[in-house]
This record gives sequence, C-alpha cells and structure tokens, in this order.
Amino acid sequence: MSIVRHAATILVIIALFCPGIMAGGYENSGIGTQARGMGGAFRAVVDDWTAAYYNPAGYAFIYDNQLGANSAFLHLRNELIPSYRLDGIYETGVFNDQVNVNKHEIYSNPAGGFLVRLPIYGETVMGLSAFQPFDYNIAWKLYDLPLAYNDSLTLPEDQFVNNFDVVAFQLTLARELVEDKVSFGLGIQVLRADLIFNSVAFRDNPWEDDSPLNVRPFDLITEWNTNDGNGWGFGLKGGLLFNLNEKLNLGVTANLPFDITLSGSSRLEYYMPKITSLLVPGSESGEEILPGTTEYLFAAGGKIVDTADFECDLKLPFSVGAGLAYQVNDKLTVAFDAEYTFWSKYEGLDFVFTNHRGLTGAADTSDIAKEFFIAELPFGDTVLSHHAYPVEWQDAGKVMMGIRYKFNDRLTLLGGGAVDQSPAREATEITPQFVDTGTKYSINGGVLFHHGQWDFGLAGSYTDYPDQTVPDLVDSNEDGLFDSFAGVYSAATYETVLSFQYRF
Amino acid sequence: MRSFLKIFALALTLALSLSIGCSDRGTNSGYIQEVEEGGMLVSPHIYFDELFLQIRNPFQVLGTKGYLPRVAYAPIYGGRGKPVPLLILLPPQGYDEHFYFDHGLMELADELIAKGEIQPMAILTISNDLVFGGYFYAGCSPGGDSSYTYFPNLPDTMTIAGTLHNPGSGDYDLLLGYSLPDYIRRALTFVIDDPSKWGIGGLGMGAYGAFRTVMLHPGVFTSVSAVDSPLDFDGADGNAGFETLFDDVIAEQALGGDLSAFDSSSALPLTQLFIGGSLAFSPHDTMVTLLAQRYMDRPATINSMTRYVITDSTTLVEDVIKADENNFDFHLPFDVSGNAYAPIWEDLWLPNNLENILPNSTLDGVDIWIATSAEAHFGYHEQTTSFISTLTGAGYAVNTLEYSGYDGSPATFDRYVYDLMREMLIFHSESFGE
Repeated sequence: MSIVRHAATILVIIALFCPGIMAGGYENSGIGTQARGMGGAFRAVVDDWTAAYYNPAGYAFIYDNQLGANSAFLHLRNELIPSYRLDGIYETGVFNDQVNVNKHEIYSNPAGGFLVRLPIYGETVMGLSAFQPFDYNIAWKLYDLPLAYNDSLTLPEDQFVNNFDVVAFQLTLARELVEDKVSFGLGIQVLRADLIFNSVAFRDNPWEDDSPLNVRPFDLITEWNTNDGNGWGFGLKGGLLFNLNEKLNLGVTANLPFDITLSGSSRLEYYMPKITSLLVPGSESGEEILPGTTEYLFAAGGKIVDTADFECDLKLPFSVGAGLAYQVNDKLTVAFDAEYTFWSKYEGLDFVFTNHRGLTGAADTSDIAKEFFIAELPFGDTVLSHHAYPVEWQDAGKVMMGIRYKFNDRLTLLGGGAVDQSPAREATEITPQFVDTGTKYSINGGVLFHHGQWDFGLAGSYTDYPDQTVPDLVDSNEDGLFDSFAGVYSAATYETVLSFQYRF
Repeated sequence: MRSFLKIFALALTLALSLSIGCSDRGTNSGYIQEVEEGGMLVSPHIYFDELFLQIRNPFQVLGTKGYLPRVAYAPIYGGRGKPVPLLILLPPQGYDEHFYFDHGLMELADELIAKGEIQPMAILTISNDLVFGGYFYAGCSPGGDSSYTYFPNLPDTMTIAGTLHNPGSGDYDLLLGYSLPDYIRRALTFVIDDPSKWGIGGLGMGAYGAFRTVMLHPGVFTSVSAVDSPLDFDGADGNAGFETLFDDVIAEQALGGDLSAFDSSSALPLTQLFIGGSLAFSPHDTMVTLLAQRYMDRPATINSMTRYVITDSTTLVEDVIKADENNFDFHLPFDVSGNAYAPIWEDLWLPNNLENILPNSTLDGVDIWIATSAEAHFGYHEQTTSFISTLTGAGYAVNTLEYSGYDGSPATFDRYVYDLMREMLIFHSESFGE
C-alpha cells in the first residue's frame, strides 16, 4: 500500500508543481470508450484492444482475442473576437470586435483493431490496429474584403483552416518478460499524414510608397492560400507493464514518430485592389493604367491565381508517459497517468513552393508582378518562394485520473478528468488554425454495456480552455507576413465516443 | 433492473447534453450582405461671382461631387426619402473633388452606415484649384477688390454688375460661407436644413479652409474636422511654421538671387503652396481688360475695375501668370534670401493666420476634431499641434488623434486618407446627434 501512496504522491506532485512537465498540441485526445471515459488514464489498465495506443505491453496480459472499433465525435466550440488592426489602429477587413465562431463541424475520429494470441516463441500476442495519434480540424471565416478595397470579389468561406491528421497503421507485438509480472510491447507504425491548411495573408503591395497604387487600403493585398497534401512515415511505440502486486500496475510508454515530408498542391489566390479612380479613361492618373500592363493587375480588382506544388517537413514530437492503476476492490479501479510530449521539436509549417503555373500575361512576364504572385519572401539570408507558419512551442505535459466501477456483470461505469498543458506558452502562438489557449481541464464519463462476448461503450468529455488574449500582430520570422492573429480567444471541446468490442 | 434503468437514463442525459453542445452556431458575417449602396452625385456648378476671374477657370466652374446614402433616395428609386445630415470635405493642395472618393469615400460610407458606426449622411466634396494647387480657400479683401460690369452690349436694363474679392484666386470665403450653403439648401432637398446637422472638414489645405469657413461664418456648420494642415502659419513661437519653409522654397527654386526666375512647376509642391498662398493673401493684381466670348458669340468686355496694387516690389514675382492670360502677379512673403519680408508676411499673410482670425470670431457650439502625425509633410504637424494648443488655451474642447503609420508604412501625406476619413465620418456622425 505504501507503494501506491508514494506513486500517487509523485504523480500528484508532478501534476501540481511542475508545469514544465505537466500533451496538448495536435495530439489526439485519445481513443476507446473505456480509456476516454477514464480521462485517458489507461497506461496501467490496458485490458482491451486500445492498448495498442496507450501501452502495447498490455496486450501480453490479455488472454482472449479481441476485435474492436470506436469513433470519437468531436466538436471544437471556439470563439474569437479579433482585434486585427495594423499598429492597433488600421482596419484590414477582419471581423474585429465581434464574436466569431469556428465553422460548425462535428468531425469523426474512427479507430479500430484486433489482437490475437499466437504460439510464437512461446506465446506472443499480435495485433493490428489503426488510429490517429495526431488530429486537429478547425475552420473559420473571419474576413471580408473592405468595400473600398474591392467591392466585387468575395473570398471562400474556408479562410483559416487546419485539417491535420496523422493515421497510424500499427503492428503490435507483446510478450510477458516475467510471467504474470512484467510485459513488453512494441508497436511498429506506418504513418500517413494528411493536411489541408488554408490561410488569409496580407501581402505588402510591391509598388513604391508614393504610388497611388499603394495607399491605404490598397497597401496590403489580400491573399488566400490553400495547401492540400500528404505524406508517409514511420513510427515506433513501446511500453512496459509491471504488475507490482495483485492490485497495483505500473505502465511506462514511449512514442517515437519520425519526421514526415508532406507534398501536395497549393493554390494562391490574390484578391487585387479595385482602384476605379485610376482606371477612368482619360483621367490624369489613369492614362497609363491600361489592360495588359503590370499596373493594371494591381488596380483592376481581378483575382490572380497561382498554383504550385509544395513540400513541407512535419516534425512530430517524441513523447513518454507513465501510469499507475490500483484495483481497490473487485469492482473499483483507480488510475493515474502522466504524459510528457516534446513539442519543442515541432517548428510549425513551412510550405516551399515549386513548379508554379497558372500565371498569365503581365503576372507572368513582369518581374515585380511575378515575384509577388509566386510568394517570394525573405527566408533567412535568401529569398524563397514559400509560406511559413513558424512556431516556437515548448514541451508540454498532461496528467490524467480515472476510475472504473464494475456495477454488475452487464454494466461498467467510468469517470475521470485530465489537466492538459498547451505547447503554445506565448500568446502570439495562438492563431485561428491552432486554438490551444493554455492549460485546459477535462471531465470525462462513460458507460460500458456487456452482453455476452460483446461490449458496447459510450463516453463523453468536456474540455474547458482558459480565455487567451493575443495582443499584437507579430511577424516572428520577419518575412513580411504576420504570424500571429490578435484577438481574444475562448474555446471548449465536446467529445462523444461510441464503441464496440468483441471478445473471442 | 431499476438501477440499470437509472444508469441508462444518466447515460442518455449525458449523450443529449453533448449533442446540445454540438449545436450549429451559424457562419460569421461581416457587413457585406447588409450594405445598401449609396450613390454618387457629380454636379459641377458655376459660381459666377465667386470665381469670375479665377485663373484659368473661364467658365467659373467648381467641380463638385457628392455621396448620397440609399436611405435619402426617393422611394421610387429604392430609398425612403429621409433627409440626412451634410458633411462637406475640402481636398488638400492640388487635388480635386475626386480626392476623397479616390481613397474609397463612397465604399467607406456604405460600410460604416451598414455597420451602424455612422448615421446616413450626404457628403459633398469640391475641387481645390488645380492650376497652382489651391488658394487656401480664401478670398480676403487685402488681396484686392474689383468691380465690374458684364455684358456691356446688353440693354442697360440687363447689365450685370458686381464686386469681387481677390478675383485671381476666387472668393472662397463667399463661396463656402454663403453661396454653396445657399445652393445646397435650394437644390439638395435631401439635406436637413439645420446647422446642427452640417459639418465641414478637410486635409492639409482643405483643413485650413474648413476652419477658416467655420470661423468666418459662425452658425453655418457646427462640426469641423481637420488633418495635418497649415493651421498656424508662424508656429507656436511666432517664428516657426511656414517661416521654416522659406529657405526650402529658395533652395527648391535654385534662384541664384533672382526672383524673376521663379518657377511654378507642379513638380515643386512646396513652391506651389506659396504661390497659391501669395495669390490669395498678397496678390499684385494689375488692370485687366478681359474680352470674353459668351452667349451667342456676343463679346463681353469688363469695362471697369479697381484693383489693389502693392507698390513695394521687393518680393514681387512677375510673369508666372503671363500677361496674355491674365497678368496676375504676386508678392512672396519672403525675400530672395529666404527671410520673412514683414510688409507681406506680417501685414498680409499673418492676418489670415487662424489664431489671428480667432479673436474676432467664435467657435462656440462647434465640435472640433483634429488629427495630426509627426510624419506629416511641410511641417504641418507642428502647425497643427500649435493650433490645438491655441484652441485649448482659448477654452475650446478639441478631440484629437495622434496617428502614425504602421511599421514599414510611414504616415506620409495621403497614405492614410482612407483611415482618417473613417475617423472623420464617425466624429461628424456623433456630432450630428440623433
């Protein structure tokens, strides 16, 4: 019993006093009804197929074969009151000072797998599963072109989008290292990453400051870009499970995804100023601005489209975790977990464009226009055709607590909670595409219905985020584009998980 | 079994709660959908007396352009025929009635009305003079008067006669303080005929004109807005303001000690500023005999004139306006060395300085808004801040805005007109009241 007290004490201390190690970011909140109902505290419990995700070593102590699947339904209910003004004063067309909500979408996050015990080297438990270790999906409409800028064009509604998925196809192998005491599990993953990333950017007008083509509100040219790509990679997941005594288990895990290079296609749409006064035939300033000229591109109010291929390196983080599970009696199990994710490795997204196509006429032949439309921007000591969304995230921790109560042979009740740190410690790291505003608190609950060899589960969770104010527009990499999005952010996440499992 | 049902009910409640948490909150919208687009009025108007002999304006035309909100349209045109307040905006040096519209005035007004940030209002702009960039919207008597008889070939009963101030630059005091308001009252019936619903403003030289008009014609306008302007000719200490620019003009001209080489090129805006000012405040009008072709090719001769002529020729610039055109000469307020020349500067220019007009006028009951930037050209920031001090010292409440450009985009002259107009419109709208 003293071991339990010591271990629990250590975990609580870790949780309360060490914010530096208290997983946020793009990490999936979890899979499985049982685990989610327990707040994610499942590393030392791991008695169903979802052990492939939480701790592969758990497979070694599962003595029946299993087939299961679940789907989590998530809804990010975020709000943003922007204050996106240049120098805090000058309007851009962003919906400032009003409550904006992210696009209504309840997205599903399916997972499934099976495990079988095979007579290999004694007995080895093998499983195949598919799940999403990283997932994020959000979309916003936050902007209209100012009427004085261009009263003829409108942008698509999916202006700020981050639809990021990494799916792991995992082969899991687990064995008992010490009979009934210690097991080891290894997951070998093939990772598939998919990304749709949209953004609205305000690009410096390339004309001279004293040009009538470059006065407010034509000084910043609205660009909407969408990048859709994917890539493949590998990952490893390992775990140990210690049955410390009849009541207490300790689970230790590590997850190592390798970097993935995403490739795909980009579409850059430039919504050009409509400066009617410069186009009036015979007007003093309009004499030279005729169709076909470079100046005309920047005054006629058209939409210029450039398409390109892109590549983007995705640096996924290493993470470690540990958990304790204590079986208080035949009915009640209590579990504590902690996880630490090295998000500092993640550097954001940098879309490097090649193979530009689609530009015609002066947009393609004029140096000033072409450089502008292919998004040539300063990058270090060079100029690169790219779009960068850099971040300086920090490592983040998460602690979880859960209980499981076997009400009777047909029903199991679940409850739990979690404290989850955001890797974005600086307010300026918060953007519409990533609304992880700070340390967040989750409350979880669920039920499992048992019917013969079948288990059916329902779990739900609510996650509350702190409000976060991003005070300034910041160009952190000095490429001329703002990397932050000023405003007041608030967020909440609702999750419902449905599952089934068949034991055979 | 009853316990099982309780648990099941609990789970169902949980599921329903989560479903409610996933309700659709709609799509964000800005303002585009609700905009009722206003219309544009382009209506050049002839001001015969006021612009009778204005240089290179033989038809006495004043360019005029206006914005009319949709609500003021007659019902048959999709409006509600509702009278609206009026704002007159005077363009800066060298710009015409299109200036504010070129910077998005109409679209901005549509947007702000749609968003409820301003009340619907009519906005009228006029042209500044484009020959020398402008005459400070002045019309002062020290510049000279002339009387005339027009159409002498008509029967005596139809003789048209009048008296002019400053014929070369035009009489904007009369135009802005009386004739234009009178025309608006008579012709623009969608404008509320109430001084509390009338405002005037401007940038640069336009702001000087706005304040000058409000001060010389109390009771016509009850709100005035100004942005970086020659509001205090001699600055805070009496030796700054324009006086710091005299050397710059001499340097810009490269005269070599000879004022007769003075060049009026439009590429020299600082020079043009002082030419326009000199034609307004210190003209050296000479007798003009004008032969005009008018109605039905009947010649009209101006047969009687009395002109104010400054006999001191120290700073006289001749032949900028050629004799075969009009022969209007002018006296600069500084000599060929760039030193202020007291008989012109102190006796003719400074009486037109607003701080010298103020004691004989009043701004009581007038809402005042002034914006200024340290990056303004021609030292206008210093002049503007000095005038703000003068006003506050005289007990007037002044709404001020100190603005600067954002990083990488300095607040030079007209780069921020769009944003300043937003602030001006909001100020005037609030001043108009309900």
